[in-house]
Amino acid sequence: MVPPMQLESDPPSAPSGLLRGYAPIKGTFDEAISPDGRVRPEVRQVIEQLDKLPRTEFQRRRRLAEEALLRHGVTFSVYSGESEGVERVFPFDLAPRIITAPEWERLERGLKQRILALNLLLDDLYGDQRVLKEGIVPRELVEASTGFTPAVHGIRPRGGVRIQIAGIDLIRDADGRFLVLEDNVRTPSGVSYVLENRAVMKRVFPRIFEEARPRGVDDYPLRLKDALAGLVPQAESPPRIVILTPGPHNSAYFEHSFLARRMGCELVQGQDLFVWNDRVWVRTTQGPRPVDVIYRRIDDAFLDPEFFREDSVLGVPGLMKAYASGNVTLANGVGNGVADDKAIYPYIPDVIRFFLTEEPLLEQVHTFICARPEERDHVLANLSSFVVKAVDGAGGYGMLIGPQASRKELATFADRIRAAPRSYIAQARIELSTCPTWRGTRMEPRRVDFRPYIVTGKSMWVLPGGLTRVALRKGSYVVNSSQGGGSKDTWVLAPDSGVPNMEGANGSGFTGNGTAENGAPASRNAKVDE
Amino acid sequence: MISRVAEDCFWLLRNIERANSTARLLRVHSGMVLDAALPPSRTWRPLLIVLGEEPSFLERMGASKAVDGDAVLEYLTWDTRTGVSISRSLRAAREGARTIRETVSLEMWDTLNALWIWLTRGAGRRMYNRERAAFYEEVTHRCHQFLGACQSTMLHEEPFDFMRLGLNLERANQTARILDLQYHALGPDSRGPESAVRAAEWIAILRACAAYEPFFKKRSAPLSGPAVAEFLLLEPAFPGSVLHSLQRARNFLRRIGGTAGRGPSSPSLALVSQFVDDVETLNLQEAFDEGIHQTLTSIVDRAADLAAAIREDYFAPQLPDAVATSTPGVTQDA
Repeated sequence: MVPPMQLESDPPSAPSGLLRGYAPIKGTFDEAISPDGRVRPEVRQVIEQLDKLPRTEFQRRRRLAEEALLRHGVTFSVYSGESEGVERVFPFDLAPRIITAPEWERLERGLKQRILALNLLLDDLYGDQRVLKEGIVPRELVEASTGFTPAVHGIRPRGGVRIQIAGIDLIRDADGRFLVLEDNVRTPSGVSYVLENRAVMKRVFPRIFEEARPRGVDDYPLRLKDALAGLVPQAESPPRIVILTPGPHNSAYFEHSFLARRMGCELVQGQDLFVWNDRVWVRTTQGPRPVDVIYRRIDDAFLDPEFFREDSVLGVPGLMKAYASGNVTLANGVGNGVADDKAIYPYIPDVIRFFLTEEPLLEQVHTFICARPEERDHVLANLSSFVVKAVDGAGGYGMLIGPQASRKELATFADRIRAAPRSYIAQARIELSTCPTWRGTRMEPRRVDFRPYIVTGKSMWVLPGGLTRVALRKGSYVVNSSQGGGSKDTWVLAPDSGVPNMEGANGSGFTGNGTAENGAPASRNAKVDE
Repeated sequence: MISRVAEDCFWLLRNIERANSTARLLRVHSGMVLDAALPPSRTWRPLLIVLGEEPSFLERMGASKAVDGDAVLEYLTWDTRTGVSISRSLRAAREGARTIRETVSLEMWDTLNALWIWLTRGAGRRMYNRERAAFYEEVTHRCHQFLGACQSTMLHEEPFDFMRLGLNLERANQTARILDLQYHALGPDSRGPESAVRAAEWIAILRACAAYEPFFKKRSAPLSGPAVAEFLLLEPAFPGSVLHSLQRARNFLRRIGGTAGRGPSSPSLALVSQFVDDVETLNLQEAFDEGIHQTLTSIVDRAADLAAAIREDYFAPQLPDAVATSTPGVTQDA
């Protein structure tokens, strides 16, 4: 039985159950509770239900969730040296993170705009390079980027799409504004946890779920498959789409396998593929079969030993020739790393203005580029107040959090910056927003970030949800799973709860001033029609 | 299907069947040892011999341990370095299933993963320490659950065919090895009259092959060595018999050949057909006169040759040159 709906007119009160005594951190935006201790009205529908759960009941469901994840093998492997991999369940916090419909509507438009611009930026950098000629992005930063791959210059991927799958990391600042923290347009991971977390939540919290009716995320794999299939020209038979994995020892293997299952694709390793006559083939028991699309989960450097790292055993010799011949779609495209380089990131708002002639819809974090002498000097002089990141880093490694660093750590990092300034950027530390998170005996505020996923084929689609990562350690700002982070289910509320959601709002069109060398702009226009 | 995945399918059920068979053998043998007054040198060592583990056991544990039942059981159950221990077989099965998780059914994965959690997260070890027979029964029970999940939830097409092919090949292999235990326990020259001790051993061998009840359902003749050997080798209705397993393997290879468009001419199919013919026409009396050990060894060797031929036909990576000849329509512009 559904409990009676709270009347809109009842003013929200302070939580009195599971969240009793919950105190938001001063100077930080808490997404559930206002500074005055009351439940935020926009999320009360869910938070008040959660608050009503008896403690022991919550604990019991927590154990259920953990067991379910373990039983289904929803694990990632941690490998160190020669030892066998230890499988762990990605720590999962049961209190959902809520995003309201109006917030989501803004985010969705902003994300589409950003991906559109990033795709145009890549087209341009590997084409006419107008952004460099017109000084929108400094040439020296682009050419020094480890992700910039001059060898793919002039290669036009099929359908004109280079970023089929993007994961954009967002945070909320002290005022609750969403800011882009970084772009991931190479091989963003984590979407399997979004779907698995959701499945667990439905099992353990059916009532709260029914009440809140968050938007569904389950169709992601099919949306992705359709998007990838749509990029294959005049397919008579259904195109063969494969997912290329480094293999079962990779920490994200669960996800590769998960996507293969849910998309109904074959999961292949480099050894299963070969190139002949500039086409990619997969070795089967029935002999070789041609491959049309490779959703590759290995980095550029390992893709093709003839082209990149000679010592790569993960890749497929000749793959780049097949790609250049337009005989295979690689998702994501090759050379995308330059677009999510953290030193290029500060220029993305200008890139959006340049290509789309509109203002960026999403704000981002002000960033200092250590490659520039005056900015570097400013960073070095105030190192203890900055967060410093490697421009091509990921996973929370190689990162300095100035306000929490020891004097020695600061000195070491200062040396590193001086030695390789192009490798670093610095940002003021943002007071990441917090969400109620269960810590053994009670709910406490913990900092979160958010990674929505954007899928682009003939059109663009944003998964209504995403991966919320949470820094489980008290006082921590680092949400990465390798650094003590966990995850939460993200509930995007439907615009009108109770009514099945219809996606329909028109986004901005693909209005880029094209750079197509073949003079056929129609073939490159990724239409944004959802 | 992808060749690498086909090979993983082939090994998945082989590994499960190996763990299953080893668990049954260890349980039955431990019980038999209580009844039969065997000399110490012939109590535990034969287990190591038939499982092919004698040299590595002696090297690592020493000869004195080979008469120590606890040490032998520990080794064959838990050792992570030996190829055939139960835990090693199950690890290989679980790792294989994880690798081809997109191919195995959800129910198979859940069953196997639950078995793995039980085995490695404490519960299995506690049961082993408390009551070994119950532990081995539990392993067998869980392996059967997995095999049942495979039979009733996999699509009955190529991946399934490779799984069942592996299972049947392993069964033929295990049955031959277990039957050979008799030879090693009693020694090559102990062909004396049937004694009570020998009867207990033949019963143990039937039990170790899960053939005790099936034997008495199908045979009214008194229990004897030749009768047991005949049953385990040639009874077509018994799923664990060498003949039945090889016939099944032949059928699956035929089906796979059909799917792969290779027809009846593949080397592996020719090999298995010859193998089945030879077993069907086996003269047991002659085999016994010459020593059944030779026959059994030859079965184990031929099963290994067959596995190699299957590998050659279906799993070995094909060279790019093969493209033009084996794939229609390749010559058109790519």
